[in-house]
Amino acid sequence: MTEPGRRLLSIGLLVVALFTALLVRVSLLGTVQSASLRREAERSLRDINPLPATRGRILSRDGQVLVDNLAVNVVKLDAQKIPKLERTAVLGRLSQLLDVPFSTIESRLVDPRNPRYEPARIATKAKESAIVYIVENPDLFPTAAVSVDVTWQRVYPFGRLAAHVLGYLGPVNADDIRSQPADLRYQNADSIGRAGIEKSFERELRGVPGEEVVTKDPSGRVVDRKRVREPVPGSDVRLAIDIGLQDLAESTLAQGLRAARENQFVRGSKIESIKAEAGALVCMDVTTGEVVASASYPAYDPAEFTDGLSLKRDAEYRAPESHAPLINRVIEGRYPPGSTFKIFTAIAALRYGLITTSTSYEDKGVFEVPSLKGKAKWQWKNAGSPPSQFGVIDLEKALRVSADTFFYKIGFDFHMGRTNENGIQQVARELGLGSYTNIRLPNESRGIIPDRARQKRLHDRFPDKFAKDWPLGATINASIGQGDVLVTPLQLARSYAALANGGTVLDTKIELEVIDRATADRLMKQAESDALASPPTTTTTLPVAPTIPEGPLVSVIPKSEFGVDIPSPVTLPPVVVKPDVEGHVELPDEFRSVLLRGLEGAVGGDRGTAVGAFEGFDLNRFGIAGKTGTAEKPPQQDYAVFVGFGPLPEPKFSCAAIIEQGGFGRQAGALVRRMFEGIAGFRIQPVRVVSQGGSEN
Amino acid sequence: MQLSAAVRGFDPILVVLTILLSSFGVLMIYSATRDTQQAAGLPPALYPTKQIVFIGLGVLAMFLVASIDYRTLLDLSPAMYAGSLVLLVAVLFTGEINGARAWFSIGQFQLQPAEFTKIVLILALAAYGGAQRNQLDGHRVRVMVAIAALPIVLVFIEPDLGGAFVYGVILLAILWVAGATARQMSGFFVLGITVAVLTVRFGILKGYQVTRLTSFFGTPVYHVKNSKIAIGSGGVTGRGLFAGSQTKFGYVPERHTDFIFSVVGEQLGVIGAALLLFGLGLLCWRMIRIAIQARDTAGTLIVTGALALFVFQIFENVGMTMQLMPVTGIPLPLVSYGGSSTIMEFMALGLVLNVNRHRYRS
Repeated sequence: MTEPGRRLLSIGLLVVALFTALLVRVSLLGTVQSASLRREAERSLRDINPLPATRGRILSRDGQVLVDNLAVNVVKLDAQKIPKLERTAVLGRLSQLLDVPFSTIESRLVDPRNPRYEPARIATKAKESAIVYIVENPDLFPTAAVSVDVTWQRVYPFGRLAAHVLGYLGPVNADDIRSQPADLRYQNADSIGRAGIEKSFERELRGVPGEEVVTKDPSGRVVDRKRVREPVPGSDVRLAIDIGLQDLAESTLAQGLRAARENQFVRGSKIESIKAEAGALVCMDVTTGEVVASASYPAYDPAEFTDGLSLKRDAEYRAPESHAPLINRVIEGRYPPGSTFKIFTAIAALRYGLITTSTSYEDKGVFEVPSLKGKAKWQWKNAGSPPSQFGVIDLEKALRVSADTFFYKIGFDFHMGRTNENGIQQVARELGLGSYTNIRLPNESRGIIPDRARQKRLHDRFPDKFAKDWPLGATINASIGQGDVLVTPLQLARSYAALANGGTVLDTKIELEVIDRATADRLMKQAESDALASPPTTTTTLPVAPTIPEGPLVSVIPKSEFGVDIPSPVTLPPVVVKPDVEGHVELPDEFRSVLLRGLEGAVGGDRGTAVGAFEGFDLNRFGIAGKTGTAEKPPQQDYAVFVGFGPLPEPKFSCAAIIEQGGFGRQAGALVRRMFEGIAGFRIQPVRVVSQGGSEN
Repeated sequence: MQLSAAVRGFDPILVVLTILLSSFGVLMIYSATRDTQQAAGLPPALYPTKQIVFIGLGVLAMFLVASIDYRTLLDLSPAMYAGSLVLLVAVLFTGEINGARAWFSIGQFQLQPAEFTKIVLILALAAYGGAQRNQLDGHRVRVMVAIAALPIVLVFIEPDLGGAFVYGVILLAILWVAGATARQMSGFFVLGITVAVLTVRFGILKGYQVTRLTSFFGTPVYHVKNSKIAIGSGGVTGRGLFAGSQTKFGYVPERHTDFIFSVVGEQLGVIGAALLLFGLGLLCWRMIRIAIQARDTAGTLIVTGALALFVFQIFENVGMTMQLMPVTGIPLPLVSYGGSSTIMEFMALGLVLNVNRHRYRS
């Protein structure tokens, strides 16, 4: 063979080697690595998209839809699909048509929260005419890039009504996605309940999203869609809230604060105008624990959260002069109960034998004890300047006129160890203070019932700030609901409800039931046709006492202060909710009747502290027992507190009202009075300014 | 008469292989493009139809090249070489297409002078290297290097990195067979590596070129990653013609041109790919055989050049679809879609047939 021939053969060997290499490589890819590469192929090809579940609605107890879902138009834009040269033109047209600034569109396109390959949302709630224009002009808005979609948005047919109970939604964050169970499939761009029912019933309301497998080509065009799991829609939550009473509560609270500001607050020689900028008002069923109305002021507009609260609004809500509108004061607010606490002191004194129902005491306006050093005397005075004097009083009168000295004495006796030192605290705790009412709403406060053990705990943690010993003053202050005693309005209403129902402490309930949407719709439709068939004379949404005139409660509400007309009631059939009993307090009839007489007197008796508030209220037709409290919280103005229940002798509802820096307990009484006007079916009057009447406390 | 004379003496295996391979190419091009074309609302058979036209033109060119005695072509090669250089310079003054100045646009068609320069370079090197048997001194080697260097530099400017590589490989193969010593060859090897390193190092290459060249050491670029996925997901038997999702939906870019092998891999599996490689290997074997049997050194060198062209393009092209070689824009001979390249490949085979035809003539 020639030299070139030999050299060609060496090239031939090289060729064989190269082809062998290719063959080996392709065989390896096609066999050993095939499975993993095939998986990779599926991954790059397929997207698993969630199919959102319709969120459940929130209904009032009578079936009014308080939170609904509205289908809204959404314009989406896929930036990758716009021909490069037309980008500016298309964005410009969209900006003009949809009235969204050009820069906003730009920033939404690059929002990192957008799911991969998904077009970005550039406008929600677009006008129908704009949608039509987009669809009909594909040359101006390339179909591949601009799409129109329908999505669901939370709407609030009654505006701000019950905002604190309903709560609001917010976008999920990484923590939510991590912390929520995987089977609930939270994804970017989902919403999640952030407050109120929306938060505490998130699981029930949300449902479970379905799943679809989408096959796409590299440009993102969908070539195949397969639904692999249908979404399970969320259930409706039917609240215990009665829309009529809720509306009444909110208008009453707003009016009540304005009325309170008509009064003046005297601090020493200084006269100030009453601030009264915030407050809470709550009513519950004393037999079931159902919360039928719950108002907190100031409130917010939940609709502002649907597209995400603007930073400006957020800042406004956080500003101190806004008085924390996002807080639900009914359950989150912790207030000194003031004289409303005396009822617990009284029960403790009776139970531990410090007094009997007829023990009398001479009130000189001041309670004095010798100081330990024997020089000066320690003094605790009645309210008023000079301090009120009530002469010889018994327990019933002490409650009626709210005589502090009577209870100071009891506190003193407890502290001196004549019996169980923690007797007052014991009774307060048994009646549910210092513990959760177990309402199913987020952020409930527990309140504080201070005692020697707590003092020690505080001292151990902060030895500089807290004394080691539980001082006499602390027990004496606690005996009239001052000092460190803190309660929520709902706790207060519940503890008095226990008094009203004979001693049973109930878990409070904000919800009646969770029902699936189909059932709710069917029941509503049925109720509607029933209403058409027979005139709506006998429908009663609340099983109320016989003294209350017949007819649905909503009918007594003329018109909402918030400007919403309440439509004719669509009634859901009443449900019987089994009360959850938290505990029972032994309350012998002998004790209870005296206590009730005292509380009844406070509302309607001689020198009763709340008579001014209830002047003109027909207590013979609808008897009410209640207690005022004027709680000191220096350096602020006094807090106005009132809690009461009715109708006597078989109370059905217990209501508590608190006005922050409201000046006088009796002013809070005027709020509860208006609630009972509604419940009793009386003519509802404007909240009155209670400047005097009864005693000072 | 002319035609029958041209047909006589053709290697039948080579001709049948050529027809089989290019027909297979048309089928794969159709399979690779039908669905995406349809989805885009374009004629689904556009690419295979055009490729058939290119093949027709290629067959004509092959007969033309084969029918003129190669010694005449060798005599004409200096003029053709000069003409090629003029075209390679001229093309640098055209507008950029896909980031390179490599094409003359003639109506709808685009002509790539670098492709035809491959044929001219083979002829020029063979003419010079075959003139004197077994006397390849240093001077002649330098001249041959210079002959190749001019077009290498010109296509490098375009830039057409793959073309430059092909020229270099043609040069090395012809030098080796023409009788360059092992020392000279290893010298070229070292020189080549040095130049390559320096160009990468001093940024003469564009960023994407460096990425493509070096990425086969680590994370593959998008093309290669999806090409490997396509080939691997084909498995042993493939997903069937028109069926592979990766190539069908267009996850592999350039799947009808440079990445046609991944379509073969995904749709026809290891078996299909092996058969294709076998066919291509057979083609190379026929060329080696013809080269050995050629009647003179010049003929041997011509076929050597064509062989180098085919082997390098096959190995580089198939290798890059499997991350065995860096990515350069080199088509798979006879199979990939392309006008200039297809016609050039048929012309190269025409040269081979030409040499084969004349091996017994005095």
